[in-house]
Amino acid sequence: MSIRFRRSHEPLFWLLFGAGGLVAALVLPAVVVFTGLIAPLTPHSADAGLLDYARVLTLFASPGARAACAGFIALLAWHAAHRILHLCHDLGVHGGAGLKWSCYGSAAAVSLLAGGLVVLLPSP
Amino acid sequence: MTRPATWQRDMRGWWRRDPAFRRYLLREATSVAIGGYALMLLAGLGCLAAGPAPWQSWQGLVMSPIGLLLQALVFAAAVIHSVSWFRLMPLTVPPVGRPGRRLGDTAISSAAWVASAVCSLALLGWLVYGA
Repeated sequence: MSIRFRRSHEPLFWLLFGAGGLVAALVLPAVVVFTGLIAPLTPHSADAGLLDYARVLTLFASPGARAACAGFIALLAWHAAHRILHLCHDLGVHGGAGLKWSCYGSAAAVSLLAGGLVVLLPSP
Repeated sequence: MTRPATWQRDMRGWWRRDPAFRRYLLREATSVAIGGYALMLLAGLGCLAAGPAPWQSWQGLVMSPIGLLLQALVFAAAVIHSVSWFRLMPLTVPPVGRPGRRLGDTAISSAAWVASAVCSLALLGWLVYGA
């Protein structure tokens, strides 16, 4: 019987995990401070404030900002998916291929959705 | 081929054996909060694409007491993630500098913290004053 060696998919997932982890470590606390502290604390009404509809659309008017936004969300998802998969294993939940497909599949779905949504954003 | 019947150590409750194991679990568990926050941002992106009314309801949810409480948890998780990520960074990056004059562990971690501060301030500046 001949043994077929197959290349592992792990490096690809680890690369996405590492990229997501780095981006999260660099700026995630600041982003959470913005959405959870700065934006609620600054004066806001239905048509004014840091999270005003027209203002946020203006922020994401440029293709670069849209790509960065989608990339940020996608990398966070890949980071979380990889760690949650290994966390399940560590906690004694050995889900096998099904769990792997669900974790990485969710991250892929989040990436596709984020990528599609930034394209669909209306212009300000 | 069946697995030979060798003795296997019982791994149930392994995290009770050492505080370091619990710190490891805490570090790994931050990913659950980070994933949840990514979903929150994705929902916001969807509402933004859908129009002013959905965006308004997303904003209301994010600024509701339960939304703020969850974001406080996400913030704690994000800080634990940053601290552990930068502490481990000297082990994960390739050696920096020439042999004999390698950049030390503290220098690598400090550089990462400086980069984090610069990126965070730039991003916050854009988010607050960008439009």
